[in-house]
Amino acid sequence: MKIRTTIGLLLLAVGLSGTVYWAITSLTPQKITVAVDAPIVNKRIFDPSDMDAARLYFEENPDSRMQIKELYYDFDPKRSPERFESAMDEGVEFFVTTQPSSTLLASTHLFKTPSALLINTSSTNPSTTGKDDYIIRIIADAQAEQQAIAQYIDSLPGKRLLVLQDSANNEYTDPAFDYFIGALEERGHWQITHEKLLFESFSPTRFQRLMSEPFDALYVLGGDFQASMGNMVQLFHQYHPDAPIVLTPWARSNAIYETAGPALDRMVLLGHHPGKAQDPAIEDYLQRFTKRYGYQPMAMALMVRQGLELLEQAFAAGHTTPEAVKQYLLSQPELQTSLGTIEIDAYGDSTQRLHPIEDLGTELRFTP
Amino acid sequence: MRQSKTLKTQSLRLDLAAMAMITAVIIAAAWVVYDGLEEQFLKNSIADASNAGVFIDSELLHAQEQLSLFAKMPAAQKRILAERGFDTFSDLYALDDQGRINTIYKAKPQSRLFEGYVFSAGPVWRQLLQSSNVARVSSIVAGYEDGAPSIYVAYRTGTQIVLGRLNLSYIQNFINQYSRITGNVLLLTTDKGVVMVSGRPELMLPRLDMTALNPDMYPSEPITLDHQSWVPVISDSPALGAYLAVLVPTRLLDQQRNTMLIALAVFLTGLLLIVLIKHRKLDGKVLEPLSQIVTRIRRIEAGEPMTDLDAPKRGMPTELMEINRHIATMSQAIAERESKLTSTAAALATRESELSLILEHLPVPLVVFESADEHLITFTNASFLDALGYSTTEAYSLLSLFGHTCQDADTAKRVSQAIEAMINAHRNTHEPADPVEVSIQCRSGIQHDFIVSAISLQDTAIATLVDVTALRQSQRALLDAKVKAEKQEQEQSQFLAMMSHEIRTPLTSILGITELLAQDELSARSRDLVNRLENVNQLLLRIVNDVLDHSKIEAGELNLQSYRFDLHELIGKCQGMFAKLAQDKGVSLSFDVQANCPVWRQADAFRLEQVLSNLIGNAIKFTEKGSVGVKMRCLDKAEDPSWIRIEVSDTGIGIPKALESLIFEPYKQIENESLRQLGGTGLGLAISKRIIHAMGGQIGLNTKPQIGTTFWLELPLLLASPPDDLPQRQSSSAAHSQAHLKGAQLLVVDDSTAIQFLIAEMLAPLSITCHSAADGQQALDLLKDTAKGFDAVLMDIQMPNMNGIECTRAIREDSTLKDLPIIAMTADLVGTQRQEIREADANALLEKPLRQEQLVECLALQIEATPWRLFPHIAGIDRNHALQTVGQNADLFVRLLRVFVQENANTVESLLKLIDGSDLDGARSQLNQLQAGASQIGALKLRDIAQQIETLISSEDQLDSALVHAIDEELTQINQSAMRDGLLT
Repeated sequence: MKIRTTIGLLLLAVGLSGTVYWAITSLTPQKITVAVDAPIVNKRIFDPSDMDAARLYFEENPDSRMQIKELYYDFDPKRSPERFESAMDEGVEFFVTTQPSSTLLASTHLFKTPSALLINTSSTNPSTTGKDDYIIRIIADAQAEQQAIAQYIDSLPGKRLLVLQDSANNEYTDPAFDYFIGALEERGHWQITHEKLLFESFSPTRFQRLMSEPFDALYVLGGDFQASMGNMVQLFHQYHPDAPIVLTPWARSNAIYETAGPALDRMVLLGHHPGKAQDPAIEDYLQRFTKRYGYQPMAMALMVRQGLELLEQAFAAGHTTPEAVKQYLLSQPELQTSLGTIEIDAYGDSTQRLHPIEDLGTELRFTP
Repeated sequence: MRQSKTLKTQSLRLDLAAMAMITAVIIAAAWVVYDGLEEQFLKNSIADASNAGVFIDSELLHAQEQLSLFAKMPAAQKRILAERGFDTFSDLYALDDQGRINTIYKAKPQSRLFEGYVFSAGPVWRQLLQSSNVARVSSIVAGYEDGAPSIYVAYRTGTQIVLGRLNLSYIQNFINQYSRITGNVLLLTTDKGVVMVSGRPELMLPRLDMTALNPDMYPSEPITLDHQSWVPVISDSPALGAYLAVLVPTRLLDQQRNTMLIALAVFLTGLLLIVLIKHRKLDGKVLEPLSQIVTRIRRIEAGEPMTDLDAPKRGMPTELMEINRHIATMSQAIAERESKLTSTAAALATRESELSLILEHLPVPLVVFESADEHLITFTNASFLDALGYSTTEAYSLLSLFGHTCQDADTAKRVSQAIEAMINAHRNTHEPADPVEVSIQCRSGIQHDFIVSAISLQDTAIATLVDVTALRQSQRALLDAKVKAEKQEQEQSQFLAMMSHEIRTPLTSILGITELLAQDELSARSRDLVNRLENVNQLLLRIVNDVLDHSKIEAGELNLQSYRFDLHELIGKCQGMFAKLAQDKGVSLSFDVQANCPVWRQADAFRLEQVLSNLIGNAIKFTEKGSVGVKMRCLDKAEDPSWIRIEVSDTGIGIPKALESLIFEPYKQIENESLRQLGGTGLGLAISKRIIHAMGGQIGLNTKPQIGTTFWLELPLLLASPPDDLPQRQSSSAAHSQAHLKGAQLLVVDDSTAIQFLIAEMLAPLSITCHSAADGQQALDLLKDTAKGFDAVLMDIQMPNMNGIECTRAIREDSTLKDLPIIAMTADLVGTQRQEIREADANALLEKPLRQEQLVECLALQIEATPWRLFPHIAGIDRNHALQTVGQNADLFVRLLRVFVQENANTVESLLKLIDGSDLDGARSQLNQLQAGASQIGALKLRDIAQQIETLISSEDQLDSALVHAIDEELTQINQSAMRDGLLT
């Protein structure tokens, strides 16, 4: 009788525990895994700010519905799909990536179906624009970007424009240059000298003669290798101390601040976000980031943050499948984030304008 | 419940518990071993990493030395050296203090730097070039030349700075080799944790979160990389300005742990299997046979016969086979016993039947009932039904039985309780308790007396009721007759007492008047007639006394008293009583009393005197010539020293042998001619024998005809202590004369006017004035009117209305009369009233008939020279002493008393002060004064206390303060007593 009573009590206790566990787990929303895909490059030291931005988000939001899965890409387009597929096999349905166009385009086919949803923070290749896929691009595509840059350059004085194009990311720079040149030639204001080179292998000796030619402005069309950009603009600045130098939004980085030298005073960057002097929210975020990690983040760190916030909103609204999240995001006329409003069209493409930042010295300077 | 306590479950529990404990111990041991292995493994790995750090630091130091040498060289020499190799540095520059490259001594072919390039920001600028913050080695950074991990070394000479980029291929090589050989991954990170050089780049570790890691080569929490666990260990390199990190794979440890866990699991599984197998074996070898044994025992319990199935099974353990064999033996023994029990039970049944028949036909009513609380009746025999008429249906319990038969419920309960008490007593003592007798009304309505006895059996009790109705009826008849006889006897006694009083009162008058007449001057003839009258009176008195005594003895009213008396005085009294008679007859009378025999005794002296008087009187009477001797001795009886022997011997005619046996028998003179010739009533010796026997003694005689007779008696007389006031009484008695009686006022209380007249006549010659009262009430009335006018009261005891004892008590209750002398008078020969008279606080007792001499002597003793009313008794004052001191002068005493009280009002307080002040001489002086004063007024106790204190002071002994306070108490007592008597105001 005693054993029966004991066993009965044990069974009752197990049953009660199971019921309580079931109640807790069923009432408590389960964490949704979101993979944050950031770069890591062998031999090429790359800024880790993309992943640090994601980590900072989760540190600041411990009650988030999401849990992070760290993914790394190495700019090798061939290896990009397999990494995504591997994560999907593990059950990951949501991705936030900072892959450039050269890498991401190899994987866009994975997001044609509602099996996964991708927040694209950095690939602007127009081939994804206007597609009913499961890629939400929260930055403007190359066309809008280059039209804005062309419009800005058109406003500058002078006639001779040197355009240096990075050949390491042709999926971005080629269509970008086309859109740029198309927009600028319409206006007929500038005589353009176009030089396509591998930024990573920039040789001062080789470009010394070109740089010494008379130019009124320089446009550096590239997304990566900001340290090389710094060397290039410094060499240009050595021959044209007063000529303005225009950079793409992707040049916003600590590396260019450290390498540009005196050219920094002549540089203009058209960013996705306003300068910190114009937007206290941006300034506040940058301060939190530098305080936490000790360095200034790259441009894409801001987009990673915004991408995670958008997913969080969708999950909070009860949408937990890629299809539902997509529909939710598309249904919003404006997507509010802590770093600004994002407007996307019916295909999930951002349509917002760029913000010229002319005082880059102040913008990029930070106190560790 | 039973299942949970079976041997099987308990054995399993014990095994599982042991297994759990073994598991716990093994897990703990494995954990300790694993922890030790892990610690040792990490120590070894950390030691390797430390060595790597030392190597890198030494490389950096070497580079700095080389750069300083290079910087000090002339420019041409620098170029030569740079062109020749100088492999320590991949790039060498000369910079101005603004960080601008002036000269490039050496550069890698793909370098992006050029002369004119400015280091204006970043770690190289901040750490090496900025004038206020020039260090020698930069942290590891992305090279400005090609973005590769780089370490810069600077050396300042004046305004010029030589900057070199280390050739890290050697260190990179070392890191790769180290990582490949050791399996650990060596990392070089920036101060922010950004991984610049990795021993295994494929791990894809961009950054270490330095805030989450322990510094100083202390292992941190493992991290997961490439599906593998690593323990990070970091240390900062002061020379390098970066962090050196080692990732130690836990794969080996994990493998060891997993191996250990697998081994543990295998071991525990094996253990569990062993337990289960053992349990199965136990079940088959032990528990199952045990179960069979239990089944067998149950069958034996149920009385089932043994079968072949009960035979032991093969494979059964020896112990169980032994048990099985014993059970078989036991079973056989039980069967035999059962057989015997069956035959014994049959015999018992027969015996029980016989006993039942016996009980049923027992002529005594018998009832068997339960010992429990309700006492339910289980059996009654035929006699019970015949006698009481109630069946067990009606009388189902003792209470209901007695409820039917007793007069009320309380009686029934009481009888039941008495029976229960008998049962309990028998149960406790195993002895039958005393039976009780109850009166029960039977069903016929007739009351019967039963003696009920009860004894306790095991759970029942038996009570028998013996009908004693006939016996009790005859006893009641006898009792009635006895009561009637006693009543008659009492009436006879009362008659005798009345007769005693009624006869003795006129006899007293006759004797007294004869005595008074003899005192007058008479003629010879008248004198002869008076003498003859007196002799006749004495004879009459004696005859009356003898007859009354004998009557009282026969009526059982010989009540002996016990009081203290002086044996010598008693003998002397007898001597005085018979001296004149012996002298008149010419017979010598001698007394021989043992000198050392204790004098004071406790007994009825009056009766002893009566016996002695009778013996001495007879001896003188029957001795014509010769002598009569009285001898008293203490008997030497060890067990009781109080015995005495008195012999009365004479030289008379003796007693014939034939009469010896009759001499102590009453009325034998009537029957015997010889005895009748002796004269008298013949009751004296019979009364004496009865008295001596009643006192616990013996009386007898030794006689020789014509030679003489010796009567002897032996009896115990209790020893008593002499009285405290003996000397005073004797002295006062001796000192008193009759002179002070002149003019005394005497109250005579007696209902006999003859006695009143006689007393008045007897006392008239002494000028004593007698006032008469017929009873106690009249006496009280007279005393109230003239309370202090009387000097004494003569109080008869037997009087109408208020007798003498009641009157004496009433007088003593009046505080103003507490010292009035009261002399009781009684004609009671047997002395039954003596004790009451004494308790009523009478001062003296006179026996009737009164003799003038006795009366006067008694009055002289009780009436003192100083009347009681003038010198009252005061507490704390010895009256006799005071009277002697003041020469019987009461006025003087009162004056002295007042002075004494006044003088000593503050004596105690003064005395205490003197003693406290150590003025011992003063204290002694005061105590002397107090002693003198106290002695003067008769405060003897106070005097003694003062003397005791003085002695203590003189001998310097410890003085008890209670003694001093005792003085105060004595003074207070004297003061208050004197104030009550009006002597003080």
